[in-house]
This record gives sequence, structure tokens and C-alpha cells, in this order.
Amino acid sequence: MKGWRKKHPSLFLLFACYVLCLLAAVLVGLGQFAYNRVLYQNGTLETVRLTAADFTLQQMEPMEGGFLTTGGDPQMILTDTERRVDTVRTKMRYRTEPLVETAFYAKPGEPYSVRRMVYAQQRGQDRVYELPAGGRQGLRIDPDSAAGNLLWVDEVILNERRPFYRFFIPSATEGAVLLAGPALLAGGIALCRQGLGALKGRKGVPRND
Amino acid sequence: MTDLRVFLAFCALVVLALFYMERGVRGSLAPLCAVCSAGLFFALLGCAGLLELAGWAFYLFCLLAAGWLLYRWGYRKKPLPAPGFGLWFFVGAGLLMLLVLAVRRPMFVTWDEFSTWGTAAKLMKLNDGLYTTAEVGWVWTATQPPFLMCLGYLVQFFGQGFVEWQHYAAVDLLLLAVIGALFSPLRKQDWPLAVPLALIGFLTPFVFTLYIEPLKVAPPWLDSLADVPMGFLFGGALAAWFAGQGRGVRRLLPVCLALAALTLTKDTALALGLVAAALVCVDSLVAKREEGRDLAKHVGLSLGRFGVLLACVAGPFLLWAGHLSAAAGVNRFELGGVRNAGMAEMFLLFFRELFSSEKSEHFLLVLQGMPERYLTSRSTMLGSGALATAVILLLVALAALLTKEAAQRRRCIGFGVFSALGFLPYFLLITLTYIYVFRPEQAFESFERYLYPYYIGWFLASVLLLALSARASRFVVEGKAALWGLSLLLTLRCWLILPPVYTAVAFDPSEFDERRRFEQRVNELTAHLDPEGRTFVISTDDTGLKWFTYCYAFLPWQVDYSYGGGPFEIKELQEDGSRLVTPVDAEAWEEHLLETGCTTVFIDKADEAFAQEYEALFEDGMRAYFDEETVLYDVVVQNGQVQLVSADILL
Repeated sequence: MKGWRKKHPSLFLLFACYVLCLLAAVLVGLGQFAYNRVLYQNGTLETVRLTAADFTLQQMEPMEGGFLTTGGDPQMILTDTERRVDTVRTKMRYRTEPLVETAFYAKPGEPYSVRRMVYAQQRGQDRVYELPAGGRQGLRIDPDSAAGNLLWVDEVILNERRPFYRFFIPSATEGAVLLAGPALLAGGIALCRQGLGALKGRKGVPRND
Repeated sequence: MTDLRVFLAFCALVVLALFYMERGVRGSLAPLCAVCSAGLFFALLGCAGLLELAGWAFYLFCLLAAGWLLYRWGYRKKPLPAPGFGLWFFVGAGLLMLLVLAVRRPMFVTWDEFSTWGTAAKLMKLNDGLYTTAEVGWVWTATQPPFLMCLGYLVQFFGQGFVEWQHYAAVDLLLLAVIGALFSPLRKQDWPLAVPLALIGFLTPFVFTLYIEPLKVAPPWLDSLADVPMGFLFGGALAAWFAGQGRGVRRLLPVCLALAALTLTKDTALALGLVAAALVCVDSLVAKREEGRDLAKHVGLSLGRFGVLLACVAGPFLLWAGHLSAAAGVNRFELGGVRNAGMAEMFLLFFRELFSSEKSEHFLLVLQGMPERYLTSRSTMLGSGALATAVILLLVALAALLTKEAAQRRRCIGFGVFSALGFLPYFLLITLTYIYVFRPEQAFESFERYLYPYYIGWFLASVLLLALSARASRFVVEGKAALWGLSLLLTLRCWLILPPVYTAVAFDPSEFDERRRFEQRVNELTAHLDPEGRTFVISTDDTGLKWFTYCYAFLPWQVDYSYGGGPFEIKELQEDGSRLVTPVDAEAWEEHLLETGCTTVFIDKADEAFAQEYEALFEDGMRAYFDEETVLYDVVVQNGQVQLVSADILL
């Protein structure tokens, strides 16, 4: 290992950065898992089963025991805006398959934004939304993106505990950061080292490049 | 199976790149040579009506090349040339990009993809021939040059059917090949610059094409339009020259290929090609003279290079003009539009009007508006066009300051001055198209899109110059740190403006569900249609986009012009550029259906007002449509009269 390190210092630095960043990501995942469990223990996060009555509905009109979407942006805003939400599982039936399904979160007074949005993951007939670990307030579910669809809200389950492994699966953005970040970091460190070397060189210390 | 063909095409391109490398082309420039030459080969044979043959010949050649390389490197133990970071990048990033696209399967969504670029690409796959002569059911003026569509055909050569994400993959491979060329100056010890350069290359289309937070998935890297590839090839041609190695053909070949490909990317690319050729000539003139070569010989050589590059620009342009003239009867030298002026005539008209005392209102409006927009209108993430220019020139100035080599400094100064001068004719060309080609109400339409190809190429070439200077810097680290910092700044700028879920990095496949559903609907519908038939589409709330989308999706089934979608109106262009709009009554529509030979009428959307106007033509007075029993009516002609009879087809 030592010989390899001396022989290929650049490769070693690159390798070390990837290992360190991966370790850091695992540690963050562990930390989030522990934090989540604490929040469940102290009751900040609790599993609750809700119906459509617990939401303020927009662009959704009651019809045939369900709701007709009257616009392209139907919304279900959780009435209890203070409730902290970590995960959402929706059990809904649709007349026709819905278009883009998303969930938003926002602190009171904060606008909903695409930067605070998660897409639905289909699990069998249900949809699951995973908000940032630890939970956020101000839940809004957009169950469809098309007008004229009929949907029935059977149940919305908040804060089902997410499985352990889910804390270690990066999102696409995190994956991209994990891919490019360590190499960029290694490049930065190498440049700093070269810079220090150059500085010593300018002060009369022989340079080593 | 259809997914595998893209990976096969990627392998073929990598083999071709290795072949170029073995023949003496710099490793980092080899992918650019491979992609450009492959696309040009398909375009050339396509013009001769031998597109399918081009496919077989290309894959056979790559197979033979793979065998030859294995024989040389494996059996004969010839030393492997250094592939350089560029080739590694092309292989790694290309594979990753293909995997991401194959999993998420994005689709076309923009107007121009359905009206022009996507339709042309789909026609090529469906007909195994160039799109210029294809029948699409409406007046198809397919004058757009074929390079990108040829790349799309190349990656989808095997198997049946056209797949949209695979066309994106073809365009993205071209962009990756150009980014690979940016790595050319890097030696082994310059590895800290590799990721910053890759990041800069990846972010460049975002930085120069977006300036506000998008409301849906942003096009860069998921785009079949020619503007970004045109900018990349402009930068790629310059990068290939700046970072080339060797002498003679080996030095000039990558530049020639990139310039020829550039010319066949879009009509306005001719101007970019000429500017690039001139910039190479200037660089060649200011370069250090080889020992023993006198000034006259040096100038002669530079002018000779300029001549070769001009031929590489003019050759493909004339070839395409000849093909258009022979196959489609279109004169490429005439630009059409409101004045129907030729290219040279447009410049003459401009100068005549400029020095005349009587200038049209539109002329003055465009002439004043263009510089104003360039100076003040925010059109890139860096700010206005003027600010983007300032940032680019700052990079060139930095490159000139950092280097310790006088020749490199001369090169930077020459490039800085002449690239800025070269921007003027390009800017003038765009101004003239707004005056003489577009309708008055279209003035400044897509202003940003027509200018950013120049910024993109200019920026990429400046980054490469900075990388070259950083390598041989007086301040060994500062140049590299500048590039490292630039990549961080661009990342931060993109992060602030672009939500990652609306970029190619992290978009969700469900964003394309609507298009998928649309395609599914059309497939269900076309299963009931006569392949030889022609369908009239009614969609009363359409602005034209839906009609273009149906035209595209129906192919190879043909959609009638249908009054261009939307309201039933005949729009005629007047001599003064304005449009005469005449509403269509039931009698005129009946006549149209008879004249065009439509066999079916598809109703996407119609309201009661529509029914009141045209119900006499429907056998059931449109009752079946409003009762949700059918969306399709058969056109039945009896005694010269049209009756629309319900086909009882509901989707």
C-alpha cells in the first residue's frame, strides 16, 4: 500500500478522496437514521392515517364518492401545517392513470417551490413520497397534473418508518455530487499542494515538480 | 433489443476513435474525428440516396478496424498510443449518459422538435433515406442540413422504429466528443484540471441557453435542435486547431472534419464556419515560425491552410445545396421569408437601405433593437450578451497574462481580437434575418437562441486557451486554479438558477408521461387507419403545437395540413409581410377534404360552436363525438358530396 501510494500519489489522492466522501455519505446516512429514530421516540414524528377530510383541496371537486380534478394542478394541502412529515404513503384509485405526481413542503409563510418538491415512487398500487430525512412541515400533495380525471382518496399514511437501507440510497443529484465531487476535491487538494510547493520554490526552496 | 443498438453504435464510434488515434490523431481529438467523420459519411451517402448502404459500410468498417487494432496491439505487440484524458472521458461519460437516458427515456417536447428536427430524424429512420423528399402530408420544406439527423440514424441503424431518447443520445455523444477535445492540452500531471474541464463542458449549454429558473425539464442535453451542437462544433473546430499536434494532414484533419460537420448542422452555421476558418488562419499567422522557414513561406502556408478550411466549409455547403436543388427543387441560396431575398442580395439590400434616406420603420426598429438587446437584455446566466462577451474576453486576457510563452500570448491576443471582430458579421447576419427573412411581428423572436451558438463556441475555445496557458504558465498553479475556480463558479451559478430535478442530471421520467400517453393514444388510433390514407385533425384550442405533434406522432401515417391546427382559418401571406386570415365555412372545408383526398377526420377537441358551424357535414351531427362514442370519422364521398360517418373508435 505504501509503495503504491508513493508510486502513484495522484491516484492515491483520488482514491482517498472517493473513499472519504463515500464514508462521509455513509456517516450522514447513519446520522439521519439515528436522528429519525430519536424523532420517532420523542413523538415529533408519529405515524398517522388520514383521509381527504384532513386536507384542504384545490382544483378538486367531490364527485361519485371521489374527486374530479378541475384544473391541471390539483392540490391536497395538509390542514395541520405544523405537523412534521417524513414520509407519505397515499392509497388512491384513479379513473385514468395520473400524470406527474409530486409532494411539496414549506414552512409556514414560505412559498411552495420546485426546490422543495419530491416525486412519487410507485410501490404496488400505492405512491410513496420521501421528504428529506427528519421531516418537514407544510405538506402539499399534487395527486395528478391533468384536469378531468376522477380519483378516490382511500387513505393517506404519514410517517411510516422508512427502511434502514433507504437512508443510504442517494438521489440522482446526490449521486452526481458523489461522482464529480471527490475528483474535484482531489484536484483542489493537488492544486493547493502544488501551490504550496511553488510558494516554497519562489522563496528559494527547491521545487519538486 | 432497440436499446442495445445505441450501445453498439457507441462501441463502433469508440473503435473508430481508436482507429484515428492509431493513425496519429491526438487521443483527445479522436472521438471528435470519429463522430464528425461518421456523420459526414452518412450525410454524403444519404445525398446520393445510399443511406442504408452507409449504415452497413460504417459498421463493417468499424468491425474490420476493431480486428486490425486487435491484431496490431494484441498480436504484433505494437505500443498503444496514449489515449489522453479526452478519450477516457468520452468512453466513461458516454456510457454513463447512455445508461441514464436508457433508464429515464426522455422524449421530445418542444415545438421545433415536432415541426423540424425530430420529424426529419424520424423520417430518416422510417424511410432509410434523407428526409428531403419524404412525404409527410403537408408542405415539408426540409432544408435543414442533415448532420444531426445522420448521427441519429447512425445510432438507430439496427432494429425497427424511431426512439426519441436515442436521438438525444446521438446529439449528446457529439457534445461529449467536443468536451473531450478540451482535454487535449492536459498531460498526465495536469490531472487536477480534468474534472473542472469536464464540469465546464457539461455546464456550458446550461450557462449560455438559460437565464431564468425553468418551469419544466430544461432542454440542455435533452435537445434535438441544432443550436447547441452548432456552438459546440464551432468551439470544437477551434479547440482541434489550438490543441492539435503533428504537422500537415494530421494537424488539419480534426479541424477539417469539425468544420465540415459544423456547416451541415444548421443554415447559419456557414457563417460560424467561415469565422472559425479565419480564426485558424490568424492563429497560424501569429504562430511561431518554424526554424528555417521564411516569412513568405509562413504566410503562404497559413493562407494555404485557410484555403483548405474554406473548402471544408464550402464543400459540404455546396453539396447540400446541390442535393436540395436536385432532390427537392429548393434553391438554398434563396433564404425565403418576407422578402424572398438571396443571401448576397440580403446584404446588398441592407447596405442600400442603410445609406438611403428612406428607411423602413421595421428596418430602424431592428437596427436599434439588436444592439440594445445585446447590451441590456439578460440572455445568459452570465447576464446580457455584452456581459457574456466580457467574461469570455476576460478568460482570453487571463490566458494571455498567465502564459510564459510569447507565441501562446500572441495566439491569445490574436484570438481575442479577431474572435471579437468575427462576432460582428455573425451579429449582422442575425440582424439581417430579422429584417429581411422574418415577418415584422417576429422581430427579435428567439434572439438568445440565434446568438448563443457563437458564445458557446467562443467560450469553449477560450477555456481551452486558458488550459493551454495554465499548462505552460509563468505562475504554475494560478492558471490551473483559475480553471478550477471557474468550474466551481459555473456550478454555483447553475445551482442557483436551475433546480436539479429540472435538468438532465436528476429529471424524473414521469415528466414525460403526458407525451408517452399521447404516443400511446396515437398508436391505438393508427391501428385503425388505412396506411395509404390521410387524416384531417381537428383540435379547436390548438395553437399549432398539437397539430405538429400529431403530424410527427402519426408518421408514417399522414396528417393533412388541417389549416395548420387550431381555428378553421386560411392564412395567406401578403406581399407586405402581413397575413390575410379568412374563416373557413362548411362548404370550403368540404372542398378541402375532397381536394386533399382525406380519408378520415380525427377529432382531438371540438366544442359546440364548432358543431354548429360544421355539423351538416357529419352524418350524425357530431352526436357520436359528444356522446363519447367516437373520435374518428370516415370521409365518405357520394355524388361529389362529403359525409363524415362515425368510425365508432374511442380511445
